[in-house]
Amino acid sequence: MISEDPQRKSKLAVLDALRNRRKTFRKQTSLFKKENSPRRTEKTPSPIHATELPGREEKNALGTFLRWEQPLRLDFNWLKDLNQKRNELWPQEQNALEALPQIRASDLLFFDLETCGFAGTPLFLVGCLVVHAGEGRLVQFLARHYGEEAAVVLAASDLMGRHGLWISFNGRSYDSPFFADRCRLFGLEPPQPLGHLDLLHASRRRWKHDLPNCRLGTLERFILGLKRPPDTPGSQVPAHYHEFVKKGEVSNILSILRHNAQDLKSLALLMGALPLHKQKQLSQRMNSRG
Amino acid sequence: MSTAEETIQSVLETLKHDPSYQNQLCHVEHIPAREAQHRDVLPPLSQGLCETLSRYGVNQLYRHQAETISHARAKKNVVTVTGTASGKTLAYLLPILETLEQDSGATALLLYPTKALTQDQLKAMGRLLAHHPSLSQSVLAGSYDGDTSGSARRKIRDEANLLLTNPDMLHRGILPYHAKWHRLFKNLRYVVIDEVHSYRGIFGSNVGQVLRRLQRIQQHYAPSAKPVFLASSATIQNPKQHAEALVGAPFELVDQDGAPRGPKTFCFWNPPYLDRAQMERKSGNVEAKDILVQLMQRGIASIVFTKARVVAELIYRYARGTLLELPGLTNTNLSERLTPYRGGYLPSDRREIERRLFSGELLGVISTNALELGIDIGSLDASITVGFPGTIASLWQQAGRAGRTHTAALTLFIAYNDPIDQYLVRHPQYFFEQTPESAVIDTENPYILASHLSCAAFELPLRSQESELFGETYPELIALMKDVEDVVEVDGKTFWSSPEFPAQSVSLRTISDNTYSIVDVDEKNKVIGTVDAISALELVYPEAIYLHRGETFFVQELDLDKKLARVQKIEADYYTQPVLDASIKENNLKEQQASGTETVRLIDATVTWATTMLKKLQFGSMDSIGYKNLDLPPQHLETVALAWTPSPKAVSEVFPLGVKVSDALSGVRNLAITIFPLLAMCDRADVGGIVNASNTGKPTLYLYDRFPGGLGFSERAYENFTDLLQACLKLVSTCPCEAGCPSCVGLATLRPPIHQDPDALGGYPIPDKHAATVLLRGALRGPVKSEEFSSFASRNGSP
Repeated sequence: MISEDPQRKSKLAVLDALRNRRKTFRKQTSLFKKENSPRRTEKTPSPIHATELPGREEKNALGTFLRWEQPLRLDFNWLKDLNQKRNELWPQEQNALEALPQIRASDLLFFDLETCGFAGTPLFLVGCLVVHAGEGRLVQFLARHYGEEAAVVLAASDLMGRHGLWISFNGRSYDSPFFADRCRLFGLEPPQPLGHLDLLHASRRRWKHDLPNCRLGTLERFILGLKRPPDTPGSQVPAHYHEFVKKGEVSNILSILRHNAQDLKSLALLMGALPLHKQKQLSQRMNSRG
Repeated sequence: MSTAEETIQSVLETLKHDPSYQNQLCHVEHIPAREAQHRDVLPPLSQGLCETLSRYGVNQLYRHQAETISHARAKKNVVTVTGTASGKTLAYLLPILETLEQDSGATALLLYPTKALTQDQLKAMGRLLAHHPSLSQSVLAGSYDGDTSGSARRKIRDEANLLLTNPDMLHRGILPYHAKWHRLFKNLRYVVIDEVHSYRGIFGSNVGQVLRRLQRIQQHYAPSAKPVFLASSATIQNPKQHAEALVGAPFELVDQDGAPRGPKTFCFWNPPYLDRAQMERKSGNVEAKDILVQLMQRGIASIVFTKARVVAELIYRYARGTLLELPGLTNTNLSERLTPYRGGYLPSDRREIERRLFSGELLGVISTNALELGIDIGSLDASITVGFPGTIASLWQQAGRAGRTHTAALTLFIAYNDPIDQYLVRHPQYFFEQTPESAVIDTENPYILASHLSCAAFELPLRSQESELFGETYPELIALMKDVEDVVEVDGKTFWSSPEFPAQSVSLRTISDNTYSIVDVDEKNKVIGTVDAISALELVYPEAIYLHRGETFFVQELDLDKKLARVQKIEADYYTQPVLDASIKENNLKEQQASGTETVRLIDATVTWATTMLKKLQFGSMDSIGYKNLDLPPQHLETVALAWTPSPKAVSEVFPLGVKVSDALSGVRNLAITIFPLLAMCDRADVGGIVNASNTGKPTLYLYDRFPGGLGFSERAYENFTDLLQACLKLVSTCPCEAGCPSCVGLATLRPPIHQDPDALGGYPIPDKHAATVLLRGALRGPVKSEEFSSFASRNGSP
């Protein structure tokens, strides 16, 4: 009914309705309490804003994406301890490592996703930290627009599939199923690790009673003694990415890349700071209470 | 004559020979019995399925079952239209099970309009599957809806072959997360749409879009496969066309019901006058109670259908009282074999009542239309419908609840002292000759389509070639979505580009999702029932008597913040009725146009209604024993309306008739609402009409969309205003009735009195037919586009 020109007004009415319905809905629900970045009306530029981004463009069977690889000086001495004292770990952790009788540095893969929010939304950044020839390497796969997600998932999936032990923060319930969903969406079989250590769970087991909470920021401050400058709050990440795709706001995406890299570094440090001995931890807890 | 037939005849005789009988029985229609028509499927079903069927008690298939199976085997979509209890479930389940025997990984998605029906069908499938030698082990059937527990959800997602759900859950809980359901979509062989006639109007137009989204997702995971759609429907005028519009694909029609049916006696019953002046009639509710008690005493399993929850409670209370007063122990027991049934009971209570009905433990049930849909409650012998349910199709559907395969059944329609009901009992042939209403949907409604395109873009990027699925306005709507920056185009694909979750802000139904809990303060605030947010202010307002399973509860407090009604059980000899006040306020003139002498306007309007008073009525007599003013917040609907204030010239033609202009205009409103579905492709219930003079000082007709923000219905009527008036005039002047009937100036589906006792309300008078005709003629005298109108009328047929 709106194909005839005199009915341009109908089109405008539909447009109004689209806007209004969203407005009324925002009022009704707390989900959208915060107004996201203001809408602008200028023409959408081309979605690839690669020039100001680090890394280099790569291509695979599913398309192009951006890969940024950086060396990272990190201490992996804890690995020896982990192999020797694994019998003293908490039972859940022993189970997670069961399929890996001897963990080598080349098995390790720390990973962290940046996504557009809850399940069903796209992911746009997969950050991985691996050990290559005794040295840490940070690899980030970035989709510069929604169309590059498939290639990112394929590239990350290749890397992840070549590492037997995944280490994440809340990855067992969030990142890993999220990544598997996106693989299936693109017709890929999701990679499976031999073992997956979730440092959120591991931290809760150790410090639940000693810390106000076990968020990564809290652990960085009290366990690692790190002070991190404020960066993009997690809740704003999806909006920033959408703005980046639509407008080319590179500064926001750079900040998310840094944030993701820092999270991975903290995970590696946290792994080193994790007491392996269950008994010892219990006594510490008693002391702190006394 | 069979025993059942004798029983039914003797009940009628007894009623007629009762000393108090006053010729209430005003029409008896005999509907003859129908023989079974069996048919074999070729090639025959597998050994395993044949064994299953015979253990289940089925030795031969009916004609419609065999035809449905043949179409499904040929990979053709099929809609099966047959009566209640004709084995429709078996008809769509057998092809699915046949496929599962060959491919244990196959999946089927089964959609039901309500959660109650889903549970019922899940149980029925369980009973059938249990008899199958191998499928009983290998096939998992599970329901997925708001009531499914977290742990069950995962198992159903990962393992179920038969997934039973509702369109709302598919829309919000499955399609947006399709990757988690990749197994279902990859192996999807069948989509069952049960009770397809219930997807009409706004709800149906939304479901049509959900089904298009479903087909996109299925194509993404299995591009070379095409699932077969199996639909079932109650009798409507256009089942095949409706299914095709809903799914967007061709359908085969199976409408030769092969199930046997006993003879049926369909009676119209008019309560007698109470006074010589013939003003008041005896209460229809009490008449229904009297007949129900008679039927139950003779062991006849009966169902009473009521128009409002409060009526189900009232009749139950009256009947229980009468049964308890009758001499003899068996009658006391009878009172325990009777129950009310309605929305707002806790799901567990409803399941329990359904179980007791199915097992035959209960002999009588008094229900709202909640039991009209196909929940299997076993076979009943008699049905009583109190008050015209609003559509021909609905009355037939309720009548279909009575009747076993071989024995005789009785259906009674009891009229209220309401103009429409009285018209029907005076002209019984009107009912038997009418075709049931059409189900109307509009899958090109731009408002609805735009909402669902947002959801679709979230699910998978939109491609330019998807016009085939979403219609020719698709490219323009995509352009609109780009304008508001909800989407961006990259490499020819349009991606969702907003942090919002579009499915959350798109509701498929017009009713509110918000629910109030009703808690008993004497039982530690135990929740005894629920009510939707809009109804709460009309059902559990402060000092109301809330009727629940026949008991009286006094409403102490309605807490709007916590969405709680605190009630306390008391012994009251009265019930309460809300007094509603509705009004419309004109906000903003969007546009106006002149057609001859008449000016019509398109406006933004606020429709407001509130419970302003409560009325206390004595049980039984309905004597009013008091009023009380209430101070409750009004409810608002911000919408779009058409406004027409007839010109002085048109109005001047009505004056000599001695009829009020507002009465003539009310007739036009009722005609317009009857025409609306044809013009705007919506259901009658999707639009409302008000006639008043409060905004303009002159009688003004308002037609508005019953949906926040409007859905383009009034807009369409505005654009075609002369056509609308022409169609009204044609409808009223060709109607053979004398002074107005439900087909012309009589029947307006004004806001149905969901929580009012129609018995105490009296209904709306039928407006003056002649005055409406004169007003229309007056308004149309001028530039008349009669050729255009006749083409419109012949396109759409007469309603």
